[in-house]
Amino acid sequence: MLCTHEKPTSFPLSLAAGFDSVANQASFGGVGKCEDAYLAQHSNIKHARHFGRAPALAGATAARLVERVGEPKLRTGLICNGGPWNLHASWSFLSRARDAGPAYLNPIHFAPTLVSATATAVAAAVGAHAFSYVVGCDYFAFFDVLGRATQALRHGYAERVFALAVSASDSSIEAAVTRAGLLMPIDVGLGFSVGGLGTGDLSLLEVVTEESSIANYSLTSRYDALIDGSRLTFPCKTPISGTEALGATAAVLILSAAEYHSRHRESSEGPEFIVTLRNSKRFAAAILRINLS
Amino acid sequence: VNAVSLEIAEVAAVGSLGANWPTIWQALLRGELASSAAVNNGYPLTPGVPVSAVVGLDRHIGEDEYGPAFRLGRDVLHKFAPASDTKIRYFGATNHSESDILLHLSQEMPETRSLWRALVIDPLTEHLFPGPSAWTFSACTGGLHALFAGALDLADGKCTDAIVIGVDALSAIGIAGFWRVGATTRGVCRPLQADRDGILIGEGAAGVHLRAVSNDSKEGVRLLGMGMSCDAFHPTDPDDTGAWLEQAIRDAVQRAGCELHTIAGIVSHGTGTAKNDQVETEVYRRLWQREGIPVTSIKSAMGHTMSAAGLFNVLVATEACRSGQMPPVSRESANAMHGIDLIQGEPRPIPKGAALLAVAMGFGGNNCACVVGGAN
Repeated sequence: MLCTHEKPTSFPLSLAAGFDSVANQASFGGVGKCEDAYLAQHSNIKHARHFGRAPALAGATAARLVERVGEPKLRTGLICNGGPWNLHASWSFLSRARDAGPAYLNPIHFAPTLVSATATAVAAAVGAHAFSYVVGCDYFAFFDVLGRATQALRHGYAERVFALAVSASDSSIEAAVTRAGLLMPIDVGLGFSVGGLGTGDLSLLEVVTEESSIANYSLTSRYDALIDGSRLTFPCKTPISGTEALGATAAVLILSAAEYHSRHRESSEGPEFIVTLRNSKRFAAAILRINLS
Repeated sequence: VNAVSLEIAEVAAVGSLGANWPTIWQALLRGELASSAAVNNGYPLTPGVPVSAVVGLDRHIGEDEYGPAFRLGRDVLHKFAPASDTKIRYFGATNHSESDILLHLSQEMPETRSLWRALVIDPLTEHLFPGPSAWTFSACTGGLHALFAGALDLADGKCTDAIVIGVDALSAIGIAGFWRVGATTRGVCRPLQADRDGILIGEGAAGVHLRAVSNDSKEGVRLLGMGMSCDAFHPTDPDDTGAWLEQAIRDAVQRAGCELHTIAGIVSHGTGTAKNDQVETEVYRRLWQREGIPVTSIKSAMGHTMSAAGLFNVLVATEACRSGQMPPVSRESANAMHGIDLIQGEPRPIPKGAALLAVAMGFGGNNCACVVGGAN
């Protein structure tokens, strides 16, 4: 295979919130508490009630993203961050198999036991034919999502990628996190259309996983996040302070930083900014630019 | 611009036919198969369902959160020996990971906080790899999507070496689910055959060590091209037309710099289910209608290894390219589906170094194809 190390190019990012969140300490929606009635009405995926809340939220978010950027006439791929989003379906499926017997399982309930069903169910709803998969499941997952999205665009596997950041709790996740002594995940449904037409709300210049890779951006404003255990430190206000957003964390940090950077543009170094995330094992960063005032 | 090639430097595997890849390969050439009842492997919920199990695999879920999937992945990971001065990234794929933790929690006491935590934070993805890693979840195309991620990171210069592992152990959810959707065989799995009746559920781990090498190098086997698509059609069934699978195959062949007629054989997804094999063979007939093409599947022998299945196909294509022989679908003669050149009985000789196609398809309609061939 002849491979070319291509010069990084920036990609337009158009944003959509999956629901209108209220009292979430941020001006953008898609973070906080999403009503179940809203999800039932707007998830837009077949057999939504057999999935957990996060796949339904992914569906609602993709629907809003399509409203924002138009039907996917372009060759579109779809990537979601991972997490325990299949736990509810898996737990129900296995409990039914054990208590009533496998003959009493509903076959429709099987596919949602795969975490990948979060992406493929949404891909079917929006007609994403380039690819659809789930990437990562730790706090860095959404950086991985954006990295894979730009890679697919650069190498011509898609003309546009819908990158979805989702997090949600349901009765199964609630039971598990309670017994594990973890924080309860809040609802996050944020959609990023990467690439495609138009200038986008933001531009994504690069996603990197090594700190040395951002040395060229020494004059650019940085928003450095640190995760110690599950405790998040971030220099600007974010609606996930003191809460848990699992694999959607990076998406919320990016929007929190974008909101702050946009508001303080006159005193900052320019429209470009960097969001970094670090814990004891990993580092990742996204270099972005504000396009709208 | 820096032109490089991607060498398949090492391969490794654990499966029902053996504890290492050379053993599995020889068993595949001999047309051996491994099948036993689910109940004999600790799955009494669906006692009679045939499975292809790894002999001697410890299925215990430990308090360290490790279970059979982790052990399979670790066994394969330890078989790789990349040079110490390399910049390695790890790529993983799994379908149901350690989902039997749910079974454990419902049956056994005492519960531990770590096991509950493992339901929220997957222990396989958290602990398997010793360095920078990325996990991809796309059902039975997961291994190939992970391979693509590794290949593209190499192409972008983000690493010098990529180790890609797909891993799935038998799971109560997987066995019950495939059985309930009517996809499991009642006896012997017969991929791409007229009398096929379903899959043989398998388990295993397959790994590939990809390395960026100079384009001038003429040694070894290369990953030449990759294509992917999504039917975006149905949660479990493939799109009847096969149009998106065809597009993924055409893309892979084109990116490999090959023509369809230069592909020497196909290691198919070939599950043995009515719908998958119908769509797949229809696409092969369409694409190679004039000249025909030898097709095989390893799922009759070692079962459907889920997220590892695509990588197992790449391993077979790699070994076939090196050795000049493709394994048969079965030792006995088979009732092949109409219009395909199914390899049966004996291995099929092919030119050494020839380009071969490896295919994977998954729930949700994902399709992946890659072309493997000699450096020349």
